[in-house]
Amino acid sequence: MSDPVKKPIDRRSFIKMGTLVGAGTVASYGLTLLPAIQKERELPGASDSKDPKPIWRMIIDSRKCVDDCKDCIKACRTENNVHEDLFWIRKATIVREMANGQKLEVTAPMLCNQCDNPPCHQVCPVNATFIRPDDIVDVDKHRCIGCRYCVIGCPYDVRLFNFYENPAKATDDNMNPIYPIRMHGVAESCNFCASKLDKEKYIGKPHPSTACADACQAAGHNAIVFGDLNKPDSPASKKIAELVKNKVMAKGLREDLGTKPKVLYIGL
Amino acid sequence: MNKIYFRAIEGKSSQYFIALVIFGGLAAIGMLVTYLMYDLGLGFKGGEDSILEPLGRLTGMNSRVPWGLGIVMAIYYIGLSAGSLVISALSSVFGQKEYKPFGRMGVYLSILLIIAALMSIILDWGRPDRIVNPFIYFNPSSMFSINTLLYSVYMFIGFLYLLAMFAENEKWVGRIALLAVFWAVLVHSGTGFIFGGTLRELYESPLLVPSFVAAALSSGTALIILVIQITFKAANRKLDTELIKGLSKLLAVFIIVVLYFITVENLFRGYVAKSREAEWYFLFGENFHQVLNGDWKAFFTPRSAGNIHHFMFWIGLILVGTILPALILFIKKLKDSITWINLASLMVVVGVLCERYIIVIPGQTNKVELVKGAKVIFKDSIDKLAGTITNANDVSMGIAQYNISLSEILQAVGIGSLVVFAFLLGVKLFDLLPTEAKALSTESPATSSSSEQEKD
Repeated sequence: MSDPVKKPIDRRSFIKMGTLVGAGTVASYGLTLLPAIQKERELPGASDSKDPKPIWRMIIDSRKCVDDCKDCIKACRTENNVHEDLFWIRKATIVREMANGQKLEVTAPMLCNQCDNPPCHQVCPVNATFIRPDDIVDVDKHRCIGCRYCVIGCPYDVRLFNFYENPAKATDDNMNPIYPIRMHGVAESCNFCASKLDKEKYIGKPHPSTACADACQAAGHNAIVFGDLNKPDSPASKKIAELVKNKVMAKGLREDLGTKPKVLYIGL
Repeated sequence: MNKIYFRAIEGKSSQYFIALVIFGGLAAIGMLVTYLMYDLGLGFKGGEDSILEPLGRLTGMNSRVPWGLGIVMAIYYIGLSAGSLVISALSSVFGQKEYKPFGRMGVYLSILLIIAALMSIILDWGRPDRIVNPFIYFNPSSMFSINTLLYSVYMFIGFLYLLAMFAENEKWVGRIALLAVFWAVLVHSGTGFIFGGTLRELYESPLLVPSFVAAALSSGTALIILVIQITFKAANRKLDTELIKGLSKLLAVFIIVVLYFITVENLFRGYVAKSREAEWYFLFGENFHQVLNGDWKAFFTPRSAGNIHHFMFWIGLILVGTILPALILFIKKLKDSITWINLASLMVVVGVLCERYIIVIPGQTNKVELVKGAKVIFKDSIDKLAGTITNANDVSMGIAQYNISLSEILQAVGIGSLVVFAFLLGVKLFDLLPTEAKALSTESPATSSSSEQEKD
């Protein structure tokens, strides 16, 4: 050919190249899928035969919450080694302005609502946000890729991303040496003290509870009540019975979003 | 019809090497900054004695605004990619044979742009080293997971398409082109769905899905108009300006569609009482109360330097991105001038970037109403990373702020430079550029004279 243009690839080599590229892609996909075929490891919090699946509920009574008490926040920090610059549980002041200049004002702690229909779990591209067999939403920080889609997806703004290494050290006095310091690059949030619940169930405590609820009880406020609704004598069951008797309503935050929160508020 | 010959450029001029070095260098700087983000954390801030001190906080992202410039650039690149793929498929799918010379270039560019989009997303993760996880742990309920599949298959289709073009196998080019156009729409709908399907007042909207596709087409067409002319000029190849004019007619239609979607979406949000306040925030910025009371100065003085999405909306998107280019492309005197077409294309490329910004950022900075109708204030327990503008009597879940950091800009420029770098290499290594591009003589009798002018 006198033509200066190079000869185009013929059909055979085109098919060959195409097949190679295709086979390579399929093979690499297949290889990465292998670990997923293996059995999913057993998750903590699984119920055994004699114990029905717990229905964890937290009831927060804003009428009993005291303005300047921060015991729940401190307890949460100590229990979970929360990143120093973040709060898994926050003290909120809820203000409703009335027409004549008066204000209705209550305080209540706000934390992860542990939705029964959690958007953070729905959107997680790697299933790092998982639902334990006892319906607690937790994050596998060793699987999380840090895409922050869950932070976007959470309408309550309680899923938090660790933007840098926790400045607190494991040797600090107010740190729990059992749990690791929070690493940067992953998203985390309150998990109803899942490991504390597991530990207390294992040592045979009748009513496992979260650190914030314990602290609130210890301070004598009893604004945060936590328990298993399947056990009629648990603090949460007793609180519900009391509310039924007194005809007081408890409801979750922004239930119009369809997230079905496990944390219920009185007086908001 | 004459046969079209494709030939690689010689690439021996000093300008070519200077361009390679400049864009390669910018890309290297971007990757260095990206490594710092990965190693130290996205929100790391060097102390006063640290060498990283001039960079400030590595990214401007915070707990309230977890998606920043990285995601803005990612969806921008995806749009450009889908757009340039559709242009390259004009000849084989829509029967516009005269655009065949741009086929290879368009597909090559679209592959590069989708790689750039994936890089923008992945390098924005907190843990990019866990890149295989989305493939191993597939979550079918997550749009992100589905998009992982859509994007990677899209890239694969792009490669096949390019191969078929190199093989000059017309039958397969046609088939793959059809699949590629279908998949490009799918990819874009999936991306729009991520935002449209999120429980936030300024995100949640099914209209985001088609408007993403429209913005993709307009920005992609505008970009390819510019890229074609720059490459043809730099490579000294003949280009028939009638082709550019043809593309500009297409661009005009796409701009009108984008404008229509924006108008419908904002009118709707303003009309429905539920989202009206969010809409005022979107249109008039964080001082919308003062602006609505007639104090127009408040419009130009946001409390935080980063909350400028309302400028971007009115100036970037509405004026520069849609109205002005639409006027240029519909006014008789201007629409036949290549200079004006280029200006309009440049405006659209910038305008759609602004559109991407105002999709991603205000949806997050808008206030979060934890208790409807009441203010929620976190007095002492507000996260240091919350990025909320806090005044003494402010609402903690009110307007959040996002300031683009220097490192984020360097990263975005780096990834963009990588695209240019790979494109420059590509036109030298592969036969991407046609020896000449001219319109069908039957359609445009003025062909000979206009191609004459382009010779010098």
